[in-house]
Amino acid sequence: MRKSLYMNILVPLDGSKYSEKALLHACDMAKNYKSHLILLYVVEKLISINLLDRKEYLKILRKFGNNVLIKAKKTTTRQGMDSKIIMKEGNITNEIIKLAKKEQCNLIIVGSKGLGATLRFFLGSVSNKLANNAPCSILIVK
Amino acid sequence: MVRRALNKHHKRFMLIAKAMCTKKGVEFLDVIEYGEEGRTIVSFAQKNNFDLIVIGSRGMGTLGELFLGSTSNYVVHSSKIPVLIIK
Repeated sequence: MRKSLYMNILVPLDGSKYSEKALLHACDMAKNYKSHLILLYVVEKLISINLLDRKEYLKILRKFGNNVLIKAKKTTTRQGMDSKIIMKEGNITNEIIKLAKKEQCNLIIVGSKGLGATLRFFLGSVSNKLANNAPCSILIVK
Repeated sequence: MVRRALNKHHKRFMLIAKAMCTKKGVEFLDVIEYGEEGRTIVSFAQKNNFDLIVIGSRGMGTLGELFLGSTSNYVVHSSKIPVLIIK
């Protein structure tokens, strides 16, 4: 077996249908390249969240993130792939880039936009920032 | 004059690319299109029903290593099909 070009593939998820599509692409690629999949959910920590509701809000987000990750893990096992799930907290783009560096990922697969995007024709803010600042190659699924 | 020089340049480049592809055993179809880079790439990909665009993150003009080149940026933003950016 030849050594694969993409050993580690990082898939950041946010629960939107674009990220699900990205996950399917990732499964397909991982199967072909025999690479490891890393699934990531980042809980966004904004300063602008109301101080009183902060704890409650983060709790809900964490629960949602867990659900997303479990669902994604199920999808990957159905496709016959093993995957590692990670949850982080902080700024979304920074955490993704940090993890990509730490785990020495060769490829990041993201959807073209997430939950936040209302505009149809443009790239989401996270995808855009990633495309500009990512340390490795990046596949943007439309 | 400029056009002839460019022609020579990209013919040579296509030859290199073709050699690389045949070495790896991949079929290669070379097409040369004229026009604005980003728009031509996107419309060509759409017209011929491609599934993926693979593009380098930086082109010939190296202003800064940190950001995406203008053509890559245009393609990423406006194509309707998946784009793979190579760093």
